[in-house]
Amino acid sequence: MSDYSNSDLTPGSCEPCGEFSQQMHLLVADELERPEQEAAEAHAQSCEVCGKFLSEYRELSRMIAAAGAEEPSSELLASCRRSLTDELDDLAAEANDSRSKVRRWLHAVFPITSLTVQPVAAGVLVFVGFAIGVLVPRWAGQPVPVVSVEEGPVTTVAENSLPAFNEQDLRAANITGINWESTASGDNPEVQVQLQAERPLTVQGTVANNNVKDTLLYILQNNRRCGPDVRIESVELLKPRSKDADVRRALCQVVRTDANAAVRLKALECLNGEGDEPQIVRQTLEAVLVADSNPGVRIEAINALRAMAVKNQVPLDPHLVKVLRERAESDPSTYIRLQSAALIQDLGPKLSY
Amino acid sequence: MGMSVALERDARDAAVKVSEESALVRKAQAGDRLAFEELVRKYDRDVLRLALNLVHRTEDARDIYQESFLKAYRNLPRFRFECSFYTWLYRIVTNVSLDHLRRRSSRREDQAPVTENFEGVAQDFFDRQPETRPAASPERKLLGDELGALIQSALEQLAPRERMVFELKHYQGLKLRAIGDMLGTSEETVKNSLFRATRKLRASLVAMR
Repeated sequence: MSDYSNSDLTPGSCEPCGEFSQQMHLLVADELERPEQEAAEAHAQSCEVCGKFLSEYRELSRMIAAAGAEEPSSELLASCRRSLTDELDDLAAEANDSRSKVRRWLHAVFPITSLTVQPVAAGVLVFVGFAIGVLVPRWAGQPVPVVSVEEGPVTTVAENSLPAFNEQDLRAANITGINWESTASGDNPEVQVQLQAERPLTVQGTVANNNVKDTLLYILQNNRRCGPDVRIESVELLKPRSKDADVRRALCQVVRTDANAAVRLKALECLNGEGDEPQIVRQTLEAVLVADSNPGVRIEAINALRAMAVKNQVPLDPHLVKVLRERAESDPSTYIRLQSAALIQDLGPKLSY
Repeated sequence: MGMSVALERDARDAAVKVSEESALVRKAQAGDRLAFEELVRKYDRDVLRLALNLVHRTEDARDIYQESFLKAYRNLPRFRFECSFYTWLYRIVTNVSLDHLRRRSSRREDQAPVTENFEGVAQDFFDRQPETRPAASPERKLLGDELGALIQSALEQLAPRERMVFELKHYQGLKLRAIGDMLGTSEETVKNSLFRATRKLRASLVAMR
């Protein structure tokens, strides 16, 4: 332990001589280039005043280093991340609200303009859309895609269609339900997502279709807008594509932020397998282990971490080891305590719990 | 020869990292929330450590964390890649932290009542709460308690900007030029702040003996 009372710091302690004053400060702050550093050290050896200053200053640096910087705990970090995520969700929701308010205000102030301009604009858009839809594939030598519009007001965005809707449509819609039917092969079910909006929309196809995948991802990324049943179905349906980077990231977000433990568990189950971005998955599992209040979710997280360690996807990271030691000592669940200790041993024979 | 190959490889790795980060920032600027969250996760431990060491109160550090990242999120479209994202983010964090420190020093009377421990060192309400953090190991306690309290008390005497420079230099290990970039000032000014801070700190520690 550094004891400042034994240091050379005495009242009226000296200052370096004028010529080398700045150099001495910079020398201890490690801000000098090699030649300047050597010159300053040589001077300190020959000048008693500067030599004394240097030893005092080094003692001060040693004391500061011994006191050490305060390291934020994993719990604090996890809780800060959660609050930030909530704030960002609120910001996104506010932005949506203000956009629709502006639209309503414009309609109220300029009703005539809207009435006259909208049909013309709509006509032009339909014509341009039709032209692009028919001509571009012909030029490209591809078959014309099928965008089926059912009888009545419901539009169906079918498999293989061009992107007929975007995130804006999803934001404006309520997701009322997901239906799916198993196919003969059993691994790629036919999915139908119903969106209730000004113009109701059904997104239909297998999860191999990007429109379907994007809709399911949207549900996971905006998990406050849908019920837990819809979210859990979305996670389940995305399982065949859980190797895709964007799907893995969305699943990680679900694991960290979804309010429902069953949804988090299902997402963890989908992450448990081969895939890209093992680092993000590992960080997610680490955060869950520290911060999730549900013991079942924490158990799945430690199991998944052990599975990753078997595949050599868990590097010997001091922070992880610290988290594991903490869990091994203080987690209320015996299973987690044992598994954390076992994982420390898996990670390196030199580490002992 | 071997050294130059290693240096080249390091430079190449650094360039790849910079370009990956730029791509991530561009995605976040285009509204990709996940990209922004990835940037947050990359730097938030450092940000929280800086805040915690500056204010020494969990709740204040949490506020600085939250306010800094929300500011970064709102202002991200204005980031023009004129400096690294890290420097830009730290500029926000240091400004938010300085505001906090200034507000705190101008409202000392609003703070929790201060008491003294058996060694006569001032403690506030938060200091007196039982320590439950994992960082509070027995060694750290032994090493840090007395010395930490003395240094902490001496740091409290510094002006907010001097304290910030001292913290960034000694605990975050940044170079003076980088600190100048973050604080929007010259290296020379940062140097002077560091010298002043060090002198004051030495004087305070001597006076506390």
